[in-house]
Amino acid sequence: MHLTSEKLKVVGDAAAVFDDLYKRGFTDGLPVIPPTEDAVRRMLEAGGMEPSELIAVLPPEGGPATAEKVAINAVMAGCRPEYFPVVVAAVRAVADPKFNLLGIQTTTNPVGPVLIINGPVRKALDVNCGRGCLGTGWRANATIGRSLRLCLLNIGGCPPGDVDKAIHGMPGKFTFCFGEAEEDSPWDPLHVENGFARQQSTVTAVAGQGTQNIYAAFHDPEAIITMVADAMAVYGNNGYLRAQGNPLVIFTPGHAKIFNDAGWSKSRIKAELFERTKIPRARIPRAVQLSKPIYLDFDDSQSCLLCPDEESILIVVAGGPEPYHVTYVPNFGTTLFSMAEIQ
Amino acid sequence: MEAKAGEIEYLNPVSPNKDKKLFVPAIGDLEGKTIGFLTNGWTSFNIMGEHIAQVLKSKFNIREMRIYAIPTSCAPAEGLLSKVAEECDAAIVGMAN
Repeated sequence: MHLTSEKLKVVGDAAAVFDDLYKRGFTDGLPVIPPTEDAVRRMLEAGGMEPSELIAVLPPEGGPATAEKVAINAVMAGCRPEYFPVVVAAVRAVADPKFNLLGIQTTTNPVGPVLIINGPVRKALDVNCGRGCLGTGWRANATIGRSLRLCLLNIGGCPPGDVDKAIHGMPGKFTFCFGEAEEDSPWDPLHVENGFARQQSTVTAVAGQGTQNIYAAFHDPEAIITMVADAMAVYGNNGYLRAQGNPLVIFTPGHAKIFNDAGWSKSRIKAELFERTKIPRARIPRAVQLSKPIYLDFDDSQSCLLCPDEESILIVVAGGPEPYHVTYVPNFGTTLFSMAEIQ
Repeated sequence: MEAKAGEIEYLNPVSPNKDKKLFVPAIGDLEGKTIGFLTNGWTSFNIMGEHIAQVLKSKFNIREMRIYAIPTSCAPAEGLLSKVAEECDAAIVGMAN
């Protein structure tokens, strides 16, 4: 296996490698694992890929995401070699033109890719789908998401500040990756909803602006949906600018059970949320905006939409079992979610 | 050359786009030229565009400034940049925000 990347050297230990990579602008600010040749080879072997195989071209710089370069970044992120196929699929997913990675990489918005993993790979790699799945503690969740960020930085050519113009950014730009709790959900999981077989493993990329917690500790589905919709109906979120995108709602298994026991399907939930997140134009200030939202010249009674239709709303089940907290991930708007099978 | 004792050798994670063309020939004199103005619709940029058009006409005697709309947060429609390159001698682009 012939690796062609430039070799860099430092005197010292792993900390010296981190210092060097940090000074060069090749990290996310956190310590990295030195991407030695041996480590990169092990990563490539686990993926069964030749170093020169081109996975995608990443904007804004159009850097080629070869297997070798993705593997280097995956090593740096702390991935185990067996995670590599998931990282490869994530890179493929975000490179799909409909995801609009160019816009996501360079915007002033805090948006970053949110990765949702489905299928048998979750158990195989110990991807957390349950309590704390959006937080810390699970290597797969932490490092797969982080690998993608390092690829976007080092291959896409997007250093924060210079090219990534996010005004504040958001913590999810370090990593934002979790698995769906398929076994605890009464509904079809996200990948089955989108045409994959249950036994296929996939990664879905959604352009998320952060998280909004909603403490919907009701047992009545009507009350839950009212509270969730009210929390989503925030016209400062990008979705309303052009009625585009895929807002993501993460219900707990407990909430999913409440809905299911009351006969509410995912489709009904999506329809209710779509309807209840409509905002009359009269509520939005008419002062001049820097951009031109789609609703600019609506009359007062016209409805401003969070997304184009109810099917654009994504619902997954994950997290601890209690029907307490719902997590809403507002969407960047000018983007569509993208899925890739994990090979 | 292999790493010496006390050295760690590692691989560069950056993958530069080697096909990228960074330089194009300078346009030279602006007199009589057609300048494209690609705007993503931001109010502030359009105000700048009006001022730029006035200056280019009055001071540099351009033939005209042509306005093209591009999306706010994503790449322009396929073919638009080729069309601009065909119709204009140079272009001013307002991207992002």
